[in-house]
Amino acid sequence: MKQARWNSIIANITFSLILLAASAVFAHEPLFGLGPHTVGQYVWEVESTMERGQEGWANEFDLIYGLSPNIALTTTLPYQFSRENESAGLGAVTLRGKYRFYRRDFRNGSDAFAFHAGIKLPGGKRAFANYGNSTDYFFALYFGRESRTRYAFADVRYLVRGSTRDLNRGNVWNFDAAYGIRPWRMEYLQPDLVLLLEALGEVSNRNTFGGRQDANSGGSGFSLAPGFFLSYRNVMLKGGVKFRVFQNLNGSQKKDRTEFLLAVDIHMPPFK
Amino acid sequence: MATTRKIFIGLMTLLLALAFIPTHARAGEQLQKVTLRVDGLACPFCAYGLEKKLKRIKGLEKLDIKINDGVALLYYKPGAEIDEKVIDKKVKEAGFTPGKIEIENPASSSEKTASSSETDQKEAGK
Repeated sequence: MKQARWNSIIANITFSLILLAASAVFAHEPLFGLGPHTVGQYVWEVESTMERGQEGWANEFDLIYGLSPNIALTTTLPYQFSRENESAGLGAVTLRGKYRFYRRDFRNGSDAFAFHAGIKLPGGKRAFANYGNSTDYFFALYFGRESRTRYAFADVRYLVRGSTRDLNRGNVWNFDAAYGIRPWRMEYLQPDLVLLLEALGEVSNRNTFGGRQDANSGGSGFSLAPGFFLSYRNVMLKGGVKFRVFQNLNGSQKKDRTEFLLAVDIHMPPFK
Repeated sequence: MATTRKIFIGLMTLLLALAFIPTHARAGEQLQKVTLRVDGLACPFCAYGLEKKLKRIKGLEKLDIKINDGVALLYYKPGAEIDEKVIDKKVKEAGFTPGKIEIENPASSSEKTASSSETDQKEAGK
């Protein structure tokens, strides 16, 4: 009973943070992938996202700090809401750093490349079934171009999954691309709408257990995800839906389901 | 009692007078206008960070960001010091690239053009 009350309190705080969250987004970035953009120097930002992934509804809370205009550090705290026969709880913490090593600004736009690396720590009150209680690492390379009327993103990501006892989960490659348009070129202090379409590919290796491959693991898939960004000055509402278009899973596995994402970002002023 | 009342009325009159003293430039005084080109400025949501950084500049009276033109218009109080290095620094901290700066001096009708320390970026197609 006491635990249930704490879970309820945490859930309420999380919902509040959704409304009060400050954005990490200096620019529009893919919803289900990531992009090359970093936050400004000396900027602390908070982002909170509600999403329904493969494990049900969850909230991800990000705390970001800009070491420089080109380096950003992020801590992610996921909270999984309760679902059929399983209670809610905090997931494993992720720490990551992004370094934008190339940036070319031009009038009304920019090109950028960034390298991203991170670690998902084991533990948390309740490890997500999808990740397991292991230490995972990921590496990513991003490209992004934005202008007044168009957006283009591409990235390649590699997730190295750690092992838990005899279970060694297969590593995962992700290949993503996104294209967006701004139908109306609004000025500052006017509502701004961007529409984005993401293409997301995934290839995952089989798990091994006790040195033997698990026939019912691994596979590949391809998804499309339309999304939108509606912003006014420093407040942004963004959302998207990820449809599995193609899926080739080894053996007998549960099919991936449609994912949803909705977030409200509030961009806070820098400390100095 | 009569003395206290007089003091009170005097203080209230003084406060009211102070309230009507404009904190900005009086009518007839022109603000010094600086036109700053900002490269990398693509969206209104991005512009918020630039607004917050530039508004911290000492002496700045008003700021107007024109995203479609890729410029920020800075209006300084008459006589305020305009430091191009500070402007450049604030733009860079916000994550953009400062370009050409044009300072309009209201004291004379001529315009003074000053180049920033950054090389202008090549314009790309939209």
